[in-house]
Amino acid sequence: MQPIKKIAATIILSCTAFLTQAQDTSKPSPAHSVLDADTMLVVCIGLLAIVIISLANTLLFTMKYYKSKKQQPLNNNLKAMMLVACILVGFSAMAETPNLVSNTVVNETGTSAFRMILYIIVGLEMIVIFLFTRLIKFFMRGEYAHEAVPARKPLIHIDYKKIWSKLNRFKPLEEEASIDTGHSYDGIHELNNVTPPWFKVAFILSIFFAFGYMYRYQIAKTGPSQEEEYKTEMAEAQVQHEAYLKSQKSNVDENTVVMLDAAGIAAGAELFKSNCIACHGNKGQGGVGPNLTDEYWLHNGGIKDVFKSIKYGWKEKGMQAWQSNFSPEEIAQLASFVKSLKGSKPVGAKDPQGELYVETKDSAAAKTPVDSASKK
Amino acid sequence: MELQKFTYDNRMPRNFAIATVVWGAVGMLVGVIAAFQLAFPALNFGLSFTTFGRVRPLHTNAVIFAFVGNGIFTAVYYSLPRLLKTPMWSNRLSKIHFWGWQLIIVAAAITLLMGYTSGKEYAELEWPIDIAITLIWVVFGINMFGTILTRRERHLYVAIWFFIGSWVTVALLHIVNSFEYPVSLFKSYSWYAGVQDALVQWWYGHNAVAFFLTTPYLGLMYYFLPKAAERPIYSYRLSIVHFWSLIFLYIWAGPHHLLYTALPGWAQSLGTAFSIMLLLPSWGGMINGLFTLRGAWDKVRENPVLKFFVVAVTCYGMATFEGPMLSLKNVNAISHYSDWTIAHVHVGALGWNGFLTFGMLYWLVPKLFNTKLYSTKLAAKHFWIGTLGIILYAIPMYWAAFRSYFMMKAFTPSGQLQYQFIDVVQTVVPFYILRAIGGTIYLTGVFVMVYNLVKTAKQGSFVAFEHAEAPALEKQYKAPSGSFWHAVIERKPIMLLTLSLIVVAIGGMVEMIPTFLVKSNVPSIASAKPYTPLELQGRDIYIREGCYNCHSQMIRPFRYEVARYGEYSKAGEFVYDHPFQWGSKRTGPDLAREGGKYPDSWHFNHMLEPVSMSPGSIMPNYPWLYDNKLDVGSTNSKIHAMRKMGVPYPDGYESIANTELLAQANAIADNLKKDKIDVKSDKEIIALIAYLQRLGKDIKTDTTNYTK
Repeated sequence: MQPIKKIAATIILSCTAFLTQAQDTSKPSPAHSVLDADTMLVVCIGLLAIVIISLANTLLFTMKYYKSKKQQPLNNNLKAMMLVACILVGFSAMAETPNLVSNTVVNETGTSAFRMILYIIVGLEMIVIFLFTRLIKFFMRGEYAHEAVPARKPLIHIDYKKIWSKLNRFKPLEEEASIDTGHSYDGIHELNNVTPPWFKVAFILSIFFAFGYMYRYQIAKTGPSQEEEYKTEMAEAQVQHEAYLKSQKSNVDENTVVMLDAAGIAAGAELFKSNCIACHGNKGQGGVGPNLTDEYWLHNGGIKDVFKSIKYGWKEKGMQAWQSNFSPEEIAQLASFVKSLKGSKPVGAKDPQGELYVETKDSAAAKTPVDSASKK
Repeated sequence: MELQKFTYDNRMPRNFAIATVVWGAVGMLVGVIAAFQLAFPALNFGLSFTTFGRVRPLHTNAVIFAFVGNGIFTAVYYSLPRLLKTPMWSNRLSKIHFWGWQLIIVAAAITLLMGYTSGKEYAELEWPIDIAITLIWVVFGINMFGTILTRRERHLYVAIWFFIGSWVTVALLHIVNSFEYPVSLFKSYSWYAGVQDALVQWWYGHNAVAFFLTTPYLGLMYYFLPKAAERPIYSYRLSIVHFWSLIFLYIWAGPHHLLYTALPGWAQSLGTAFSIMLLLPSWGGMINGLFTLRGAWDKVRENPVLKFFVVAVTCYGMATFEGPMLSLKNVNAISHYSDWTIAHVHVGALGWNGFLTFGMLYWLVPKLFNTKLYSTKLAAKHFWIGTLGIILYAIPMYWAAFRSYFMMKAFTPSGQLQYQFIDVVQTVVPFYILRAIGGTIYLTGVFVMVYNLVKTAKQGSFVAFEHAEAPALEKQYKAPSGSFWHAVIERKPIMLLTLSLIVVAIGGMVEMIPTFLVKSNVPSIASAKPYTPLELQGRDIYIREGCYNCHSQMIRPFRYEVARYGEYSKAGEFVYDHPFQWGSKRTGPDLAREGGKYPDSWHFNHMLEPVSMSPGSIMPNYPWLYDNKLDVGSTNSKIHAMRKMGVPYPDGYESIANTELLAQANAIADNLKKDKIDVKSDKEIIALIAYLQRLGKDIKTDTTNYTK
């Protein structure tokens, strides 16, 4: 037994270290996170509360236990429980801090009804888990039941036992014989206690709820169908997006995009590194996707063309549309970076594909004022 | 009244108990391996039979049908004779049942790892094994009813109601869900397609939980808990209320596994409504179990058997509370495809089934060997290790689910998805590690129990036969006046059986028949075409490798899913999908619109080594697809089978099917050559690429979002 426990403890401890590491690397970039902040907060607080409650419980009991048995080593079970509680708390702190700290913008798409339900669920789940920890506490007490625990005097005297007993309409144990059914199956007797009143009420309520639910969604159809919910969600997103566009001064698209400066190109390089090299190679030399460094292009090579290719993709050729992933500005940065690769001649460049692209005056119009001047 | 002498044969419960322990340890070990594979893909070892997609079905099948299955039989073979005062009806049938079931388990383990699978969750076994299961189940039924009909106890105890209800419902579920068209000895196609297949599958899947993991175990609880506590059952009338309401309501709840999918809205609403009503009947069992311990709580502190029972029943209460919550559609929107479901299931499986089994074994083995438990202390330690394991398993999963949900649905102010799928994967990997450790701890507890039980058996001596005596039932019976009406059903087992069957048949019929017969439930899409022969072969590889264990093919109508995966899925797109492959968990991204998203060469590189195309991916490598030649010999029979089930391949298509297959394969190989990849067109990977590139292309998808 002992070695098993020690091994388990070692594994857990080493994992804590590992996990803290892992969390560091997997932190999402907090650049512009939009999370449903208050929901998030409730969930985090809820989960943290659970962990803290269980930790506090465990600590409390450990202390009592330790006091009572000063000379003896800590009970192994308690040790293990404490270990886990510590891990969970430390771990949770690690896991959640970045999200709470990062500057979150409240996303209003979640409807209030939705949120209400979420709160209720989290609340109820917490209650259940809390009851579970009470149960564990009960068992732990059993492990040193013979140590007398001095009774605490509560400020207000509430007889929970009595309330509980009333709630269930318990028959006192002494009167059990009166409700014995007389059955005996292999020595198992059956009482005939009344079904707890709260059970009956709750059952009837749940049936009402079910009928109400069916009526609302399938007969009266006052509740939205999933298609309607989807339409509403998309419409809200549209409104939000338009508001966003209005608030942005430079809203580029494929008609207005221009080659960016060095800073823009550098930003594009970063995006390229994390999103494009799987197909286009780390230097744009090509791989699964075409070579981006030569003068041949499958879909033309002007800044506007490249912008368009990134934004809408070329699905049949395997280039996905990136407009759901990148903002217009980011696409402009990427396009500028791609354009800047021309003539870099990286090692292992893929053979040219498509047609030779010559920069026309129009496509490069905004690139250099000199060009447009010389045309005149 | 003359007393008749008879003997209880303890060999059967002993054998089943041994099988329970052995398969439990094996099944959980496989689960732990699978859990570590998710965190460390290298543990897939690049071999087909050690890869997650095949290992995970082995885990689920082993713990459900081998561990819990044998647990049920242990309980039945021990309690039934005693509750009825008669030996099991036929010793021969008992033996056939025992060895038949173990053989099925071995066959299942081998075939699943070899990739023979029907591709339907928890019903993966192929048709010959399905038939074997049916036969053995019938043998079990005959043996059980033979025993019941030769009983010396007039009325049936509540545990037996549950055994009967479970038996008949499992038979119904298994037969209906296993309708399949055999193509070869180890390959068949589900009779149903798409939406209908999904409905039948989750009617089955949900009720496998209900009538395999829950109701037989309630029967187990009703026998062993009062026995161990030496207390009377709390309420006879509560037993009646919750038995009938539970089996009636349970069967309807299946569609809650398909909320926000292409399943018709009315069926989804029924699933939700009935799931809500299911809460109290489920709690009826918990209440009756916990209140039976009234006046015995001092024993609970000392007695590890009761400790296990109490936590098991509490976990049952937690899981059956959470279940209805998860079937509310707003909550389901979060939990579906996520680790929340995994946590939910394991609270039930580890807590309810596991702990109830452990409690039963700690009580039963000393009885069988006429001795005391070798070490009560060790059993108490097992209790703590197990509890720890459950907590450490569940909490990381809940956490992972919430985190991934908030990441998945996060948009930037400019309307782009904030996180790539791979970001989410990397965030949850640490939680997977923690979960795997939780599972390992739980498994450690099982080994502690094995040691304890073996020691117990060794210190005692096995009591093969227990002698007992009771009078035979009188032919004429007149119920005492004023006896409760339900007692009539309790003394008429065939009536009980028939009523149970009627009660459970209603829900399934109301949901299934309209879905099959009413056209408007699956609006057809003209552009939906049957798979080409190569795509069909590729699809079978997809099924064989168990891709559905991690990838869904069902995009729900949410903004963040449409932005991430493409236009949401429509019912009409799946009419030729025998079986459906919607999946239930997204460890990887949805693939419903995978077709055309990446070039062929991307898939080629990705399947060989996923991290090369998707750094940070935890998907296993599939090198054998590049060596294996595609089995074109099966094409004809596959096309034939599909046509028999209504897929409109033209008559005589078989004769040109392989020519077309070859042409398409060559085209893909040529296409790969353009990207400097040299591969023969007869490899399996070519067929898989053909299938993946086809996914979701039946309808013109406008994947550009609202900004356009």
